[in-house]
Amino acid sequence: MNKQNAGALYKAGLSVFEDLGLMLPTPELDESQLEATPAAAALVRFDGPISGTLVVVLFGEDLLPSLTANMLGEMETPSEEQQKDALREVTNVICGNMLPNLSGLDAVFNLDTPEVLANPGNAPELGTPDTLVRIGLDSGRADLQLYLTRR
Amino acid sequence: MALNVLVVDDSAVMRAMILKTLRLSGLPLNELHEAADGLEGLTLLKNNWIDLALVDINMPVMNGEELIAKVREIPELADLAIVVVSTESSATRIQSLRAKGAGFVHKPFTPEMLRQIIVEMTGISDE
Repeated sequence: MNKQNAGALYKAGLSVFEDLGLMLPTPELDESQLEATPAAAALVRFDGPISGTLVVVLFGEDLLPSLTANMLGEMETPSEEQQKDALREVTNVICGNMLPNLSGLDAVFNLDTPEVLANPGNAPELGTPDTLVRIGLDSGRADLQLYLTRR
Repeated sequence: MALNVLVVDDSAVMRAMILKTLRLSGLPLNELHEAADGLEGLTLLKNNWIDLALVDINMPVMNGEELIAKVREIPELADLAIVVVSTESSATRIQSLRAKGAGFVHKPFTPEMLRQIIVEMTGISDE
């Protein structure tokens, strides 16, 4: 795994979960975070000096409702549609923040509209991620998977 | 003077976040409008007095860049204060938006960042 890519992805994810999701990411994962099951996932494809797909998988049933409620500033459980919207937005912002860390501020990228995956435990046939980083969040975690397209 | 504000973003959650941030900013606010794409935003701009538009870039139907271009072509709206709120990081694209008279704030933003750019673009203050 490319350490520079992992650093760029981790930095982007950390910033988004802290500033957008108002969560406190943990660098070390405890047992419950490691054993949490996949609950929601989304992907976004990007194209530019490098091309590929970023997949964000949230583990732990409470994580996405909690993240969405934080973003909305509401105590009530968000609707399913609000949760999907929040996941798409988080995926989009992580990708948008990762790319300049990989290719610099002069690079121009186009991002597709993020898609929520029907089965979070089964990402599309993308193969093995080139980069995978894990961020502990509450009692769950986020896996950020970067797949680069070979040209 | 209190601001009439339009938030244009295809994410309803992001619109809610921006509106929540605005309400907590201490800035004087009057009417708050929302639109899910550039075309909807343009219609609201034509039919309402709006002082400030906060605009995403990547949106369906009409994106933020197209909306800004349309607004600048309409004499009654040409001087509208616009702040782009986006994940865009390309210096070239950001410079192009600034050349069209738009301010820029990067997602994720802090309340302070949003407040500062609004003060810069509108000249308004709560003091």
